[in-house]
Amino acid sequence: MNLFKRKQREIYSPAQGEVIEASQIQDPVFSNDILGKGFGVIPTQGTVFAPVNGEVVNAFESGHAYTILSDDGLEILIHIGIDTIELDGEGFIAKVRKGDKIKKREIIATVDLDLLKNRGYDPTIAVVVTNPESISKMEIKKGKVIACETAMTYTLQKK
Amino acid sequence: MQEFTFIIKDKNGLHARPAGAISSVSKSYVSSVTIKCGEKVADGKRLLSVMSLGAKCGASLHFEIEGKDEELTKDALYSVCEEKLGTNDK
Repeated sequence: MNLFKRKQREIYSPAQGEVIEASQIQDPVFSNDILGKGFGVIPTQGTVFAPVNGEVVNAFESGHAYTILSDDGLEILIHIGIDTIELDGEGFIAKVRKGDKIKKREIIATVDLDLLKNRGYDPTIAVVVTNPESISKMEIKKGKVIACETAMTYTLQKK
Repeated sequence: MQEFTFIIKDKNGLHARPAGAISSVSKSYVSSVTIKCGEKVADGKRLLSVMSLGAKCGASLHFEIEGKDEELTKDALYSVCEEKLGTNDK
């Protein structure tokens, strides 16, 4: 009987590059799951796409972090680069604003990866579900990805 | 109810790292945590809500804590604010 089987859902990679486990992100706030559960992407291209369908809850003025409420109720943080708040917007161009409805594959930001590299910043993009109690059976698809390929699968937790 | 006000001294403001610390401390207690910053109001237990305050250096955060362990929660939150937002050195 498949009656109780929950639908498998997906979060797409926000960028081309390599998907890694959250525990491999070089920042304890992500590697220790302090903000929630998710994964990292080491980007090889500086275009950042929406990983889910949803609404932009907040786009930081500095362009390096975005929060999204997905249509299925996940609260997702996209944080581009480690400690990049220190750049105060330099190298980042936000393409969405608070309140925008977004769809998978829409561009939410661009980041100048060369600038980050030259300034000594790790460009890893963290994608974190900050209400992890709402998901189960989470799985990360590690390895090389093109943008908008599946990076993580999950099912919704029974309410 | 317990309450306190904290003025952010970290030049980066209430970004992901301190917001994460505040929400994880809030989540570890049963009391409700409401944070007010100007016109904006956040649920202290929800990271996205805390981050949405967009609080900058110099902004004042007003915490209202209500529940069985409100005194403990207040002390824990005050320490985390001091530690994560109370100085401007890296």
